[in-house]
Amino acid sequence: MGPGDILEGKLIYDGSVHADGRLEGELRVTGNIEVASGATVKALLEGGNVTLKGNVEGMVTARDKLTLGKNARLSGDIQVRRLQIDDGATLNGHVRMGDFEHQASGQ
Amino acid sequence: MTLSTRRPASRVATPVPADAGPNGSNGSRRNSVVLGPNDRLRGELYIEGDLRVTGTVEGNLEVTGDVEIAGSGKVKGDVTAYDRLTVGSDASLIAGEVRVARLTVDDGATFSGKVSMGKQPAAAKPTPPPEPEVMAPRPEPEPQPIPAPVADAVALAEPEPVAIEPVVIEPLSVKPVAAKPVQAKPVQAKPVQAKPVEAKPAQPKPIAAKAAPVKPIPPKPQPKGKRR
Repeated sequence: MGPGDILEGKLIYDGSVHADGRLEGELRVTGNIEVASGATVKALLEGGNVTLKGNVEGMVTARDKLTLGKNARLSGDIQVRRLQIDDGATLNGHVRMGDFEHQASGQ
Repeated sequence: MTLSTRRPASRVATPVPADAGPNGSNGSRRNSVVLGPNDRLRGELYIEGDLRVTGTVEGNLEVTGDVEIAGSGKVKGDVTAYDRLTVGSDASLIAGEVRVARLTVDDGATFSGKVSMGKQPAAAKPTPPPEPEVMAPRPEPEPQPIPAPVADAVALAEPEPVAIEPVVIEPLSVKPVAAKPVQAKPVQAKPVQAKPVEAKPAQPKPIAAKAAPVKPIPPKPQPKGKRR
């Protein structure tokens, strides 16, 4: 997804997504999700490795690892196996951590 | 040449440690508490300064500066840091609630809880609001009110316009009432102080204004009975 791309709705995708535009709805991928710094996301996100550098509002599930970059702003509950938050990131929400492979439904 | 070079050198050397001493005026060094790897805390901890945990904590932490959970440090409880919270890669934070201004979590760390971030945490600080005490000036030197009864009647009858002024004076005249009985005895006061008496009528103003021409005496006896 480029900077001008817009996704509204639900996307279940076998692969990885790099989001640089606007995204609303739900995004479940088998691969990784990366939200660029200019992106605006209001969606439920689920992926293996999820890297956020932009503005995200919504629940985030990372089956492996969630990374919040230094300019990331995330409002929403997150469920992850591993978590990395860089200094400067803003997080508001409930964090749950642990193995939950069984629960992963997006595959 | 020699002297001039030594002087600046000595000046430089002295100030450095001196500046480091004072608490956080520069924000450079604050009170710092360290819980080592073998240390263990159960309960609540409030610290004005920074906290570094490499041991085990079971309880709630509130820190005005930074919190660092490092090494194999483990914290189980709520954490409030007015500045920043850092959770190291081998460290663990299992919290109910995390309130911090800034947050860093290293990859590998165990972290869970409800996170609230923003500039507000400082608002949680207990700020004791100064309670302005109302100073009630005690009007000691105005004992006239009591002897008034007779004098009032005279005073009211003549100067009608005066009745307006007493309004302002009322608050003063009310309080002194208790103290007056003692000072009221001097009979001399009546004729001389007849003017101040005018102030008392303030309470029965409406009455005084109307009654003045007729009979101002009746309203006053009431206050007397209460006082005595």
